[in-house]
Amino acid sequence: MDMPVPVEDDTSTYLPVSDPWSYLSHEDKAALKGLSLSELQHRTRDHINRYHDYLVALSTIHNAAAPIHVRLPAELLLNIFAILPIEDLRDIRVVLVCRRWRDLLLRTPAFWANILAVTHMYSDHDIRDEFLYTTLQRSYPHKLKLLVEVKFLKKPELARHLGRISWLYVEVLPIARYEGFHELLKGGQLPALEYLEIGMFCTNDATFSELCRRLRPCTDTDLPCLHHASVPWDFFALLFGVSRLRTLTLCGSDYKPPPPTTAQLVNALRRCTDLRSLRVESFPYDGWNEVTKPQGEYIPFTNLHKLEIVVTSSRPTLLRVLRHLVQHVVPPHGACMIQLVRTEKGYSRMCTTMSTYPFAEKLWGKTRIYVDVSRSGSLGLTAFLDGREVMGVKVPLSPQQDSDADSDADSDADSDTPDPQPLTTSLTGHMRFLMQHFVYLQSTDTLEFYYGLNRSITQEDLNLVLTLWPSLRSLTLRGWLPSQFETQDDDDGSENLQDLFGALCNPTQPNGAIPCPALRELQLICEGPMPAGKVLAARIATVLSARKSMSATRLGLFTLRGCPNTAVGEVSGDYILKELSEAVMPLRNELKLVGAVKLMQER
Amino acid sequence: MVLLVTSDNEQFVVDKEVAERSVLIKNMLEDVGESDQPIPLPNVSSSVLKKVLEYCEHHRGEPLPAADADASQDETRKRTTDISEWDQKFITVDQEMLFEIILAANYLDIKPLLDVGCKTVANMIKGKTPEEIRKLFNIVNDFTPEEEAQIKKENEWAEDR
Repeated sequence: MDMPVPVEDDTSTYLPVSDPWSYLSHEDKAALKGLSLSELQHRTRDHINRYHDYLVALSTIHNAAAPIHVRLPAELLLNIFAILPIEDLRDIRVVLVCRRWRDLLLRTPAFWANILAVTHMYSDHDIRDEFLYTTLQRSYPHKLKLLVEVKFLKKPELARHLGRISWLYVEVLPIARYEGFHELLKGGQLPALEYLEIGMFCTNDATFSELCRRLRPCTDTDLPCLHHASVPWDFFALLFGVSRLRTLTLCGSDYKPPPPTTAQLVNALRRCTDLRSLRVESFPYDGWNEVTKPQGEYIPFTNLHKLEIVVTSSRPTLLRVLRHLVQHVVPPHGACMIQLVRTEKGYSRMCTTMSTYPFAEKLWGKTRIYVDVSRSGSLGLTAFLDGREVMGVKVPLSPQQDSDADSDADSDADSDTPDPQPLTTSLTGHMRFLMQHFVYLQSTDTLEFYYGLNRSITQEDLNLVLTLWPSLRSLTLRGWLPSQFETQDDDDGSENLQDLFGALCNPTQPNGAIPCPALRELQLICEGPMPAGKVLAARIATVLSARKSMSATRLGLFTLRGCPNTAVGEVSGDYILKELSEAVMPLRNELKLVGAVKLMQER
Repeated sequence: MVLLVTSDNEQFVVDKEVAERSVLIKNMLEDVGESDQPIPLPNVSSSVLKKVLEYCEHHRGEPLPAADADASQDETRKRTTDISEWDQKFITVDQEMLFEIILAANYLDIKPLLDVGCKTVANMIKGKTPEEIRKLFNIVNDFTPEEEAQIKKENEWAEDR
């Protein structure tokens, strides 16, 4: 064959190179010249194999010169692979980067343990036995975190590795399989277990009742490392002998085993003296009369810093239970934080059941309240006592729930009022409720509002706050100044008292008194565009002078922080500064401007 | 004050408290006692030491991880890939410098800095495909097609999910 084999016509686009023959050396071309088609294929196949080896050799040399390989010794790369964040199983593909990485990864047990930690084993489709076997082998001797259905713990592949499990979420389905799991716990086969979470779905109450009667509870000897547990409250009976828990969550359950008596539960909890965090989502409702008072000087859970109480309308009597719980198990002390999480409607019932709550007493110290209304349809309220968080409430509110809550809490609520009005009325309900039941909130003198960029705080919001806390000394408003400054701008701005600042200088009492006469510090932290300078300046001056006219209501510190360069309107940043300066210069001794806003001394 | 001499013979006069963020230097100072002798650091260049000292200066006074810290604590510290804002800004350097800092932190035995460096590299790898990682670190695929097919087959089940 004299001519090179034609590979395709000129118009073809499928070839990676347009003229493959032109890539060959003269020697190769000469060697292939005149060969029969079968010989040509045979010879080119030889060359391909040779060049593959050549390619691998070149690649190896290239990779050996990569800075990450030159600079970092194997020991450091192993460190890095051990902390590689693994989000899902696909992250295993990192072994395909190059030979050196694969070799090192095979010597990094933590990497394979992290892969197992994101491998959910709930059904047979979830994992292949070979994969489980290989990955377990490669993870040795690292501690294991597993999320499994209980039957997987009986797999022969896992049997040799049980002693390495330190974190376990186990789903028990069906309930008859629980006994096998209990044998593992009770038989000391999970000696390294530090965290245990149990999810139960019971289809046969009778079977579980029978199991509960028969099984002996686990003890510290069976589970020497167990410090954290999250279990259905009645299942806790099967851990009664465990006392080294530091965090415990008692969740609800839908089955009906013979429950442990309330007295038994309380005693088991009292034994966990090292408890640091207790979250109660469910607990027996009655049987509190049988609970005996602790002997002697009972100091409960000296390390407990978080008591979370989850309230849902499906368990309305829980709050009554919690009153007992707090009286008998966790008497209130300053270090304890109570968190109420309202997940559904049911707020008014909560009000009545909370009426004798032990926290309804005066706590000494400086109270500060931080209210977060920045996210649409939700409210977060956190109370600090001497700088320490003592209570937090998160209330998710959909618009529908919002208006429902309003009708519970405030009969005057007008459901047709446009946004942000619903927030205001809802705030009224929440705050009145909280102040009624957490008496120490009433003496708050420092309040910080974060209203973010999604909504403007209104005069009504501010009126509400000032009415609720007449003795307020310090108020911080952080967010975007209201848009009403733009729309209601009259010529000089001085007469308009319907805006945000109006709340601070309008007499609210029949005797013409200014709200919050003790208010000494007002901080306005503007996170969005600021209103036009002359309007803002006029408002500030109005507030300052109105309050100044009564010496008792004089503001000691007015802080305005923001960035005037992003001002709305046509005025430039300089112009704003000038106008602001002119308006507030006479008050400069009591006005503190921070950030990009500066008081100009000279025109 | 302590006098440190780098591989390129540059001298750095540093507060003892800052220099002792390095366990290596701390041990050396304890071994030689009170002395004006310069401490040679033949494995660290001046440009890298300057960066390392910037880190030590910023974190001076913070508690050092105890030598006998319990293993589980140590593990937790390493596993969290969160890096503080200042540290993130500090470690935003080119790859060469990043690797040099890690190497120096390892040699000088400054565990928190070593953690920051390793976490930064780990975060660079996170969530990327093999090809993206190769491109990032200037590496090429050096598997033979057969090997690559074999590894892909091993992982096929996991990757398809």
